[in-house]
Amino acid sequence: MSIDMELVADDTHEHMHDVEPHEAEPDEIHMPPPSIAPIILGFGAALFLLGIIFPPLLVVGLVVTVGGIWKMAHFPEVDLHPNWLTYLNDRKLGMWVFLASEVMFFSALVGAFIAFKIQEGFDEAHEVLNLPLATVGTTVLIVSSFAVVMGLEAIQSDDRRVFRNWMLVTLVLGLTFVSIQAIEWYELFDHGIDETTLFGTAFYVTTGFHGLHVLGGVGWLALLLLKARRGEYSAQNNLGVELFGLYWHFVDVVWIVLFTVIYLIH
Amino acid sequence: MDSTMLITIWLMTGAFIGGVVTPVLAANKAVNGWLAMLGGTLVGMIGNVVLLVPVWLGLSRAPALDDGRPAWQRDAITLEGVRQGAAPGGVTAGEQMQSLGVMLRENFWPAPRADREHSHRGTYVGVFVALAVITAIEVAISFWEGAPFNLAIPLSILSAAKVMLVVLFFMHLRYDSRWYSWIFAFSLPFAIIVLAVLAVAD
Repeated sequence: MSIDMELVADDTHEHMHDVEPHEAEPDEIHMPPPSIAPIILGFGAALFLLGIIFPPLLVVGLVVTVGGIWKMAHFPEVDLHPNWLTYLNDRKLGMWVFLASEVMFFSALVGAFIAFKIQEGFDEAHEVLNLPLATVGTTVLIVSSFAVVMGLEAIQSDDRRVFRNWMLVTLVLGLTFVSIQAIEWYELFDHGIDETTLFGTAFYVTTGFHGLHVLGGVGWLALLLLKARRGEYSAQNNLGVELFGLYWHFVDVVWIVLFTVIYLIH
Repeated sequence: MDSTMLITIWLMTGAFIGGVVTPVLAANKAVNGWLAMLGGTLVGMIGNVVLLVPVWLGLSRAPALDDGRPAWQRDAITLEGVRQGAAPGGVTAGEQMQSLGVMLRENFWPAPRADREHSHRGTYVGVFVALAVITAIEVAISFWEGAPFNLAIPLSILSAAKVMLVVLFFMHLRYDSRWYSWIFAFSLPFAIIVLAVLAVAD
């Protein structure tokens, strides 16, 4: 009897190995094979950056990047069981480590801005800055952060429509923020503040990197919405949404600091 | 949360945005800041009422589907009814407003947790209101001429409070494993050293 059972079990394992040759552990049979999408994405992004030197590469890089993103969007959302510090989730741990590295990155930028401000004063530049517009932008980002938590709360209760609606709100607000930044940059350029002035350099580098993070977040959110449309997220599977939320809130936190340092303190 | 409350929140949002933005816009004009705030509050509230009109018109004129229920009461994807017992036929303005509240609640207020786990919906609303209020206070403070102390001090404290609110509640560090907090906090010494070195160096 027991021999029979063993035979059956072995047979099943053999069969599983045939279907999924990448799987080493039979109990991780639900895991999809490794995806090549991140490598394509990284290669495309590198090509895109090299486009600074050789402009035609911009187009090639963009195409490859979008291709990688597209492939990524069609990769199923899976949660690996952590095998290190088992009470922590590997993906979430990775996200927090990434966010910690982002804190260091932005502290260098903000530190440089404060140092230049102490040296130069930036008084005449402060006259040109559009505080009302920046206040609206800040409000927009705070509302979008709120939208993300409400969306996460909804998907954790399996309320998919409310989740989708809040995520759409976030997408619109993110794009609004980027547009507001674009107007601000345009106005400042109009007032002769360009990359040759110290304030211009400090301002464009800090807000520019923040804006790139917002744009990246908008791209990520678009992917998330594509997956949500296919019904990928549920009360049981929403870590992807939570990780996006962590990133988005972090971008909001950076702006809270930048808004105070650049616009309010003078 | 019923429709009256949702509409109240909507009106208060308009009032709040008007009250914050108008004095800022009027800062360089010969207008009393408090008057500007009062006017902005009123205009913002009325503006949000006006903004409701197209939604209301659209909903009341949306074609009814086969069971007499208007289209907005159905799930956009499945076209299945999402609410039981909607009365077909003529409805009063009061019922229209109530339907609007129902629509907003169905589309934007997350359902309670199925597993009776504690839901943070109320907390999130509270944190959001706190963030908005602190931002308003910050902007107001930055216009304070001739303050007896350096304005950078209260502004730094207020934005630190905002950062803590977002990190603790929106990023769930308060509810999650302590380890995530430690990992995040691990970057702070570096950040402080960089800030200190750059601020001191000339």
